[in-house]
Amino acid sequence: MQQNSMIMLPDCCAHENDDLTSSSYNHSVQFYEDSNHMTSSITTLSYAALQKDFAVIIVAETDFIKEVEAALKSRIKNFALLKKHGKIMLFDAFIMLNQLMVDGKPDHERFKQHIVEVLQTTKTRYKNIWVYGEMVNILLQHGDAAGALKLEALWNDLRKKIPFDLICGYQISNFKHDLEGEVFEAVCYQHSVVLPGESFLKLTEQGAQYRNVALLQQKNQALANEIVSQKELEKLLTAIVEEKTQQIYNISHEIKTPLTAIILQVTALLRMLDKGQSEDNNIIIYKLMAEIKFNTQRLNHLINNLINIKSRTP
Amino acid sequence: MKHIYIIEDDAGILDGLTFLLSENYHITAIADARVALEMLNAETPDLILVDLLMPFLNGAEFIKKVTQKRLNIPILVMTASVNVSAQLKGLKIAGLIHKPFEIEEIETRIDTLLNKSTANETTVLKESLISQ
Repeated sequence: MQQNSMIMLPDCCAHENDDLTSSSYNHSVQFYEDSNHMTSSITTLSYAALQKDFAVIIVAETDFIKEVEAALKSRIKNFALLKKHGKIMLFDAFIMLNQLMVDGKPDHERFKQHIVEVLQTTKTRYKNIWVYGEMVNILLQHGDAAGALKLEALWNDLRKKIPFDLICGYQISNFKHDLEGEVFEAVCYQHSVVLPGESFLKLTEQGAQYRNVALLQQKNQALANEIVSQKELEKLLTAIVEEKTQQIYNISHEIKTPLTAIILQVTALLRMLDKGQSEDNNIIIYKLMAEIKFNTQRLNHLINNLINIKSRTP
Repeated sequence: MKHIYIIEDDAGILDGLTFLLSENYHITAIADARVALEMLNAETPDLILVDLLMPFLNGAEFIKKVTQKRLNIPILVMTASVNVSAQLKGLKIAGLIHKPFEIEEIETRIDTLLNKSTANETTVLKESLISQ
């Protein structure tokens, strides 16, 4: 992996003497675990970029912008002047996203209008541009992986016309639902450089890095096995639910049959009484009553069986 | 008097229906659909009231066989099952009655069917009727 551009280096390695004038511009992705770490890292990197006469553009969340701006102000005396001359531009990512979206998707024309024009103007005044953006992270955080990938593609198209360094920040926890890693992999493929989260970047010894990779591989395998187990469990639960549903249908059938018989037999008795036929039909009445008793016993037996099944169920 | 076959394996329901409907109709009570099928070789009732779930020959198979005999007899189906759309799909029946039912419901349906011309009144049951 080429590491001659400042933006590719992790925070722990980045300092003011890094070579920012590399002829190769990169589109990097920096995954991060802790947003405070990312703020600190971007502050350091943007400061170094400004020192090397790069124009700096940051498109980030409000609090992130405030923290970076405050940190840079404390380190750069003429910060206000740099901002006035467009050498440092800070954009609120939510406002920018709102301007870029049409029908809930990043729009090519809006991107040209709001991003491309800024880059073109900046390029006429400054040879090198360094951009940090996290609009993609916001989209992913809101479950819009497709939107994030489209925005990445728009940035890549722009970089073919205007060369500049671009670093995208993604909070690693925003991939928590990406069980198969498809979105994560697609994001990685949109970038020329992929930097893992800070817990790995802090490991300076190769031995420690290898141990970390091995540990992650083991965890990955364990999680893959867990996913398989979960899917098998889901199948089993679905089968159990289907079986129980069928049992309820069967029980319902078993209850309805004697109930129908009882209704008919009681109706027969009532009609006989209505018509004054009861005195002459003792045998029929006895038979109907006997059948009612039999059917109530059927129902009682059925209910007792259900209670027994329930008591046997753990 | 119109002649009705009642085909039902549950003795309580068969006896109750027979007792109640005998007042207005000539009822033949049959506990086994195979017997009813044999009897249809010799006579043609005006209507058949048949249960769906029965041993030996279930109601759906019975209806298929009646259709094969090219007998245009209106057939009312009784069932205690919840979802019977798959079993009845494509079968020519005059109506579906869910158990438990009141005898008045049966009487109304029978009266309606027998007051019509029975020959061409059976229809292929639509999904909407089945799902009721």
